[in-house]
Formats: sequence, structure tokens, C-alpha cells
Amino acid sequence: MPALIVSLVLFFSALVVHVIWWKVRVPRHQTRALLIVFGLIPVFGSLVWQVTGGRPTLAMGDLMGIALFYAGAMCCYLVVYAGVEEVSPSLTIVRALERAGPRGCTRAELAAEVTEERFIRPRLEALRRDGLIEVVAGGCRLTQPGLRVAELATALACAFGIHESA
Amino acid sequence: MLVVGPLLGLAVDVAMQVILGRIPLAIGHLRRQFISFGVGFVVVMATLWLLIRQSPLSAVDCAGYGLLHVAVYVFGAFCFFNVINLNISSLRIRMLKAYLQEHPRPLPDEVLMVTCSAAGMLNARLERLLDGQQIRMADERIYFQYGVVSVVGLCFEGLRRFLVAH
Repeated sequence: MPALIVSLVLFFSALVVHVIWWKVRVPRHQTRALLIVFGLIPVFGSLVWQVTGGRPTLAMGDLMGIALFYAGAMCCYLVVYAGVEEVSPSLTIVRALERAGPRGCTRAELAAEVTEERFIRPRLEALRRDGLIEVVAGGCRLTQPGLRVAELATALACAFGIHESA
Repeated sequence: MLVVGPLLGLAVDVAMQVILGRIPLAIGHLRRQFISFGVGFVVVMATLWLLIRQSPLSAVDCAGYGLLHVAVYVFGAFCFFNVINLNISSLRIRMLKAYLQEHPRPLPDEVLMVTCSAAGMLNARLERLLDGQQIRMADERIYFQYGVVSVVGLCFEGLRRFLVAH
């Protein structure tokens, strides 16, 4: 039981720090800031653990379990947070239809919601900002990190028989 | 030792997805992912039961370790689910793949906008929402039907309001 409690305390401590930070000021690079919070909390936690003389007593297996729980929960939160940071086109469509109620919407009305300006250009900008593509004469091309991500995505699609859709 | 449970479960989840991706079955990605998750979950439960049964732990500790390691599997599987889904629907991944096809030549924005157009995105999302019966179409108009996307949307909106919008 101590391993589960320690895992939960670490994760919720990170969430509390994250909420306090965001309430004070939303950071410009939100994902990076989240990684900093989630990275520092275990360091702080291990310092506290040292100070308390290694109590609660945890075996090596417990530490592995705690590390996996924390890393897994952190990745899940980052995935969820990506949905908070950026609005999904599917959600935009559903929200527009919900607002329209029994009247419904035409394709043209929905096309006014799902625009290049709202969904395509910001993502293209994000790829440039994150250094995955670079502007060169005649357009943009992949940078070395971008090439690695694109190749990894292609390999995954091939391994898992994924056929993409927009 | 108990970490073997979730790690084995995740290995089975991934292997099942690879196998199901190669068998020409008339089942969608989502169903494939749920089947793989379910088989992995059974493996986790069976492994944990076998390992915990042999240990001299108290009932409370057994429950704690069981929950911790089941959570590790669920977190890992959720992240894997999202990696697969990103490959299916993420516009940024599609953009990177478009750049990869041209690499090392640059790709002009105008050409990219044809491959990753807002109209194409809208059509694909509508098709997926119709398939999932989240929306329905009648007389050229599209109507909302209660579905999981709406609930997810409300959660994201709530989180966005709580964390970012102030």
C-alpha cells in the first residue's frame, strides 16, 4: 500500500504545482513547463524521502512500480493536456451541431467552422516553432528531428497496419 | 517482480495490435485497439494474481500493489492507444509525412494545403463521426446525436476554462 500512496502523492503534488503555476500565469511553452513540473516533483520527493530517513520503507520493486506509475500518469496527463491546448476539429464539429440543435447544420456551415486559418495554419506554425520543419527557398522541409519523427510515424503505421484519415 | 504483470500486458497489447493489423478483418481501428487492450488486461490480471497469490503480503498490501500495477498497465495502454490514434488522425503527423515524401526537396505551402486541406479534414471527420453514430445526416443536413465525443469535449472545455482561460 505505501507504494500506491507514494505514487498518488507524487502525481497529485505535480498537479497541484501545475495548477498553481497556471493560475499565476499560463506559461508560453506549456508542454515544456509541464515536463519541468513533472520532472522536478520526483527529485523533490526523493529529497524529502532522504530527509525522513527513507520512510516509508520501499523495496527496489516498489520504486520501479512507483516510477512506472508516475511516468505513465504523466504521459496520460500530457496527452489529455494536448486536447486542452488545441481544439480538435471533431470536437468543433460536434459543438457546432450541438449549438444548432434540432435545426442541424449544412456542410457549408460546418466548413465555416473548420477552416485552414483555424486548424491547418496554426499546426504548420507549430511544426516550424517546434523545429520539426524549416523554411528554405521554395517552401519548407524537414529538419533532422522532424525527419526522425516522420520516419518513426511511418514505421509505426507500417507495423500496426494504420491507414490514416484527416 | 510485480512490474512483470503490466509490462507483459503491454507487450501482449502491442503484439495483438500488430497481428490484428496484418489480418484482413472487417473491424475498425478502435475495435482492434479495444480487443488488444482487453487481451492485455486479462494477461495483467492473471500474472498479478499468480504473483500476489504466492507472496506473504497482507490483504491491504495485495490490494495496493494490485491497483498500482493495474494502473501502470492502464496508463501505458492509454498512451499506446493515443500513439496509434495520432498516426490515424493527427494533422501534424500527416504534414510531416507529406514533407517526408518530398525530403530532402522543400514542399511549398500551397502544395501542402492541397494534401492537408480543411475540406478534406472536414469530410474525413464527418465520415468518422457518422460511422461512430455520433452524428446523423438527413436531407443534406447534419444533426448531433449524443455520443462520447460530446462528453470528452465538455471535459476538455471544463479543463480549459479552469486552467487556461482567465
